[in-house]
Parts: sequence; C-alpha cells; structure tokens
Amino acid sequence: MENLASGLAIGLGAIGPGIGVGLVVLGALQGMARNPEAAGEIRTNMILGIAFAEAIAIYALVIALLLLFV
Amino acid sequence: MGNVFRPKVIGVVLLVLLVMVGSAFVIPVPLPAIILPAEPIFCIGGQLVEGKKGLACEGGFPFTNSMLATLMVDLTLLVIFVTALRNMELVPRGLQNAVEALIEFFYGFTEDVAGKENAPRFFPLVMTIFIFTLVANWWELVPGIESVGWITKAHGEGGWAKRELLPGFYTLVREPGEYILVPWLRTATTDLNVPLSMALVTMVYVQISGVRALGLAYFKRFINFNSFMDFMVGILEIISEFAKIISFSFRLFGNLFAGTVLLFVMPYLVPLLVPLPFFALEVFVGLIQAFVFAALALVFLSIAVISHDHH
Amino acid sequence: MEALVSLGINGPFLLTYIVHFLLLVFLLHRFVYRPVLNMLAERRRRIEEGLKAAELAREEAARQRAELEKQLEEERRRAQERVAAATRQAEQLREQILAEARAEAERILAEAREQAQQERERILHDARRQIAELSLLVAQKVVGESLDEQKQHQIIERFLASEL
Repeated sequence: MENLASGLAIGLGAIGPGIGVGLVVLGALQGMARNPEAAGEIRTNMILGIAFAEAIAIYALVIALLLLFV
Repeated sequence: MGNVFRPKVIGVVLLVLLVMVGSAFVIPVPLPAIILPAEPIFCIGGQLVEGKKGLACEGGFPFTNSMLATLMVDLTLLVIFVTALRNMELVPRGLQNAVEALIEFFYGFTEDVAGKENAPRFFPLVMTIFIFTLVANWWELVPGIESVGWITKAHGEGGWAKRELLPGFYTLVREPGEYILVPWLRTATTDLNVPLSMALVTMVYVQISGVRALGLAYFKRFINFNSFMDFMVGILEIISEFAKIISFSFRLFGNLFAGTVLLFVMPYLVPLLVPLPFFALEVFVGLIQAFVFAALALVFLSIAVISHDHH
Repeated sequence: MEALVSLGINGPFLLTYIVHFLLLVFLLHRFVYRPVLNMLAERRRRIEEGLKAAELAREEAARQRAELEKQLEEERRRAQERVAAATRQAEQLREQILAEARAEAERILAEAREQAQQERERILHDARRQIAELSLLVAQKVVGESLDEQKQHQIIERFLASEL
C-alpha cells in the first residue's frame, strides 16, 4: 500500500511540473528562434525557470520518499 | 540511401540484440540494495557492527561512504588545481587554460546576474557550489563507486547470495540470499546531508547578504504591517525561504539518487550496451544540476540585495 | 524527527559537511579564485598595455614613413630639378658650341675664299705681268730695238693698270 501511495505521489506530482517544464521550454525556444542573439541569456533563464517548475516535482519526490522509507 | 532492410543490416541488428539479451543471462547482475541514508564504513573511535539495515557504529563517530566520496572529490579538486595552477603563466596552457576559462565564465555570469559590485562577494560561494557539485556528480560515473565495499547481512527482506571470488574476496550473485553490499564509496550528492549543507550555507548567506546590503529594512519583506495583503505576502516569503532550502537540497539529491538507481537498474535488466546511453545522460544531468544549483544560489543572492521598495 | 533520520539527515554529519563546505569555499577562494582572477586582471592589463603600445608604435611608424616619404619626394624633386637644369645648361652649351663652330666655319670659309680670291688675283696679276713681259719681249724682237729698262716698266705698268 505504501509502495502504491509512493508511486502515485511521484507519478501524479510529476504531471504538473512536466507540463510546466514543457511550457517553459516552448516559450524559450520560440524566443530563441525569433531572437537568436539572445539565445544565451534565454537559455540561462530557461534553466532557472525549469528549476522552479521542477521544484514542485521535488516536493512530490520528498513525499514519495517519506512514504516509501519512513 | 541504401535499403535499411538489407540482410547485412538485419544481421548486425540481430547480433546486437542477441548480445544484449544474451548478456542478461550470461552476466546476471544483482540489484544493489537501495538505501537512502549514507552507511558507515568505519568508525572513528568505535566498533563497526552489523546494524538493523547494513552497518552501524557502536560508539565513536561513524565515517560514512559519502564522507569518503567527499574526500575523494576534494582530492580530485586538489589534483586538478595543483596541476593547473602550480606554475601559473601569463600565457596559459592546457589545464590552466581550462580552469581559467571556467572561472572567467562564471565570474562573467555572476557579474551579469548580480552586478559588478556584488560579484566579488557572491562569486566564491557560487563557484564552489558549481565545482564541488560537478565533480561530486561526475564521481557517480567512476567504476567501483557503489559496487565495491563490505558485504554484510541484510536483516530484512531482499538480499543476495555471496560467493567467494578469490580467497577473502566475495561477490554478490543474482540468487536469493541474505547479504547486501555496503559500498565504500557512494556519490557524495546522494547523501542528503551534502546538498542540505550547501543549501543551508547558501540560504544563510542569502540572509547575511540581504542584511548587509539593506540593513534592518531587509526584514520588511518578511514582516510587514503596511496592509493585510503585505502581511500575508511576508508570511509566504518566510515559508518560501524554507521551501528554497528543501527544493535546493532535494533537487540535487533527487536527481542524483534517481541517477544512481537508474545506473543500478539498467545493468540489472540488460548488462551490456543498454546502460551506455544512460551513463551519457548522467554526465549531462550532473552538469545541469551543478549549474542549476549554482545559478539558483546566485539568483537568490541577487534578489536578496535588491530593495523591495524600489519596484 | 524520525522522518529526517530515515531520509539520512543526521545532525553531526550535517555539521561536518557544513564545516567542510565552508572550508572548501575559503580554501578555493584563497588559493584558486583569487590567484586566477588576479592573473586574469593582470593579463587583461598586459594585453591592453600591449595593444596601446602596438598602437603607438604603429602611429610612430606611420609618422616616420610619412616623413621619409616627404623627404624622398623632396629629394626626387630636387634631383629632377637638377637634371632639368643640367639639361638646360647642356642645351645652351650645345647651342653655343654649335654657334661658335658655325661662326668659326664661316670665318674659315670666308678666309679661305678671300685667300683664294687673293691668290687668284695674284696669279692673274703675275700672269698678266708675264704676258706683258713676254709680249714686250716679242715686240722687242719684232721691233728690234730694246727699250730701256725704265720705259719697259712703265709700259708694263700701264698695261696692267689698263687691264684692271
């Protein structure tokens, strides 16, 4: 049961960040395609944006690990 | 463009598949026990005993495999920097050039994000985070990590049988048994204490930088009675400061821990060829996570020294 | 608390790593970043200096070359002038020599002509005198009588004077 809960926590918790990361990269790539000179700056900010979106998945991971190992 | 379905091509593909599938039977790789905490490998002033799960210390200070890995990282850094900077020349060559390029790139990055006057203060922390994390992450790929160590009783479900390889040297085999491996070395960043320590140092330094730049006005962003809205925002800010610590440490830990588990599971499923792209992926993940940690630390530092009143 | 322990978080370990990390930051800053950044700054300074020096040297060289070129031009102009002057002088000299030579030639010619004239006249004169003398001699023979020396001379002179 804990395994199931853990799997669901990380599985469901990864959906939102997945979409979020996709949107971040979509926007960044469009920006880079329109304005290739700014690619470097956009890439850095894209990585930061991904990191922030990913944070949500990390909270899910924390919950999953707690469920699995505690 | 020839036909992809030529007999030769089909033959090669079949051979590769055969090698992959065959290797799963010829080289049965046991799956190592997945243990979250770092395990002690010897005790300073104590006795190493078999604990509930793996090994434990009876008295004394436990010296864990991630500590040894941290020391290996330090050693690597020492070797790299001593080799690179022993005879610094005005005209750089080889490793000195690489080290200088890395430092120059990061100094430029710090200046871009934090501004010229803050860069000298933020740079050492940011650079150290990047270098240490990068080397620690890439140690994940060194052969022998997480696969050489003490063999001990599992005291729980799981575990493999052990077999004597040479006199005194044992290996786990893929047969049910009661033994697990406690590796001497484990990727340092897969011990939660390591990323957490960096996250704590970073967030404390963020607060120090904020106070140094803005004085007591810095705390206005946390405790603000101007309006109810500002008060609630302040509370959210406080929570987010702690959430940053968690997301910092768990991001690095989670990525690297998942990476090591991935590198366990892939050889367990198919020992040959299949793990290769995952090793390449881990090189990339290690680099990206090191950069993300450093870049986020830099961004938080830069946000802290900017007054809230100005915008 | 139990959750933290099962995740592997452990006070003494955490403290060890914090101390280790701070030490690492300090040591790397002291022995790696600072020397490298100083070296980078030093190199930038040197390169800027070098570029400035190169720029100066280039300007100096350009200046010198311009000067040299000016000098060369001057020299060339002077040489040309000299050549022109010499040519002119030579031309003049030639004209002069030519004129002199022509004059000399003319003079010689005139002299020669005069001499020839004189010679001719003298020869003619002599011839006439001889003819007169001969004629007188003939006449004397024919007449048979000799004129005296003085008369003879008078007659010849008269003859010659009438002839001329």
